[in-house]
Amino acid sequence: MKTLAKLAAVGASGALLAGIGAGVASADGPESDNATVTVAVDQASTFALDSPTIDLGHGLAGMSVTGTDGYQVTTNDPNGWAVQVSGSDFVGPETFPIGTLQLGGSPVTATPSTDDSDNKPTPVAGTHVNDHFAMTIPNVRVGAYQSTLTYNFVPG
Amino acid sequence: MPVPQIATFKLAAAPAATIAHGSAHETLIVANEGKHVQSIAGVMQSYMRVGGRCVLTRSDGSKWGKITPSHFKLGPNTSREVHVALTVPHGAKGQHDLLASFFGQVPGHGSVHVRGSVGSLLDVKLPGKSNACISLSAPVTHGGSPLVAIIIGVAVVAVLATVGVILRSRRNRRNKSVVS
Repeated sequence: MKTLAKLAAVGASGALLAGIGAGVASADGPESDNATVTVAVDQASTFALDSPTIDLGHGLAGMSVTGTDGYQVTTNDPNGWAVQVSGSDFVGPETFPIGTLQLGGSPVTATPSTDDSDNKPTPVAGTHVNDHFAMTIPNVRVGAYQSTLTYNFVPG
Repeated sequence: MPVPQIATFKLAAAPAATIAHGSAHETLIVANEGKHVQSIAGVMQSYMRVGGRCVLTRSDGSKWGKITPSHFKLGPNTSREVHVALTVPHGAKGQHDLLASFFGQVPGHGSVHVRGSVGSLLDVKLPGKSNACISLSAPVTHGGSPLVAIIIGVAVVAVLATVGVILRSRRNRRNKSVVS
């Protein structure tokens, strides 16, 4: 990915080492000097949401509504990555708990929990994850309700 | 395959540093590669093992460090440096995984607002029992007491022996694909 290349810098760990000019010379030719070229590649990570909002639509109490969102992550950390997700309670004319919202069949929690992870770096082009949300509309007063989901991308 | 174009931002870690005597300063680069201006908030979090689970907590993380500036805006395709100052709290023991996280959010309409963050791990190693999520075998500077080794960003690559605990707990409930 070109942006990773842009961020290459000297002085970090994860150094790449290349030797050039190995000093090979013919028996009757002049000997050459050796030169060592080093470059260090910094850790770089990206996180991109497909959409900043999820619209679950509307319905009556007891009805099921669904929505989707996704994200793409990239990291060159050889130890991989993890994404944790948490959410705030829905606020409107009254409140109801974030656990009403299901992510992949499990309730979303107020404290971050692992959404997805891998133990190796992403491909250079990145890894994309789709999240599927569902909710059974609770028996609350009529109105619009909002919550905020927070994704934490943790390289390493 | 959706094309990510919203709230895309990047974090690049500065060169690794090993620092003793309980404090460290590092520089990170935060870039907005998205198409919208983003309001970004820098937050120190602690990545702790609580009840067998690895959780991010802000309350503990804020004791350890400060990000300057902590709030800023980035236009599309722009970047800026931010500085992280770490100070070991009095009486702290064991290994600690801290995460310098940068949260971005763009406005939108919907019942659920979503914001994302990208972080860089900062590892602190002190004598004593650890409840850190990521076990360290990072180099420790000897000769002082307490000894503190703080490895920013890239140094984490060498020390994540127990990250498999986290990684193996994946729920496989997502539809993951590799972008080609």
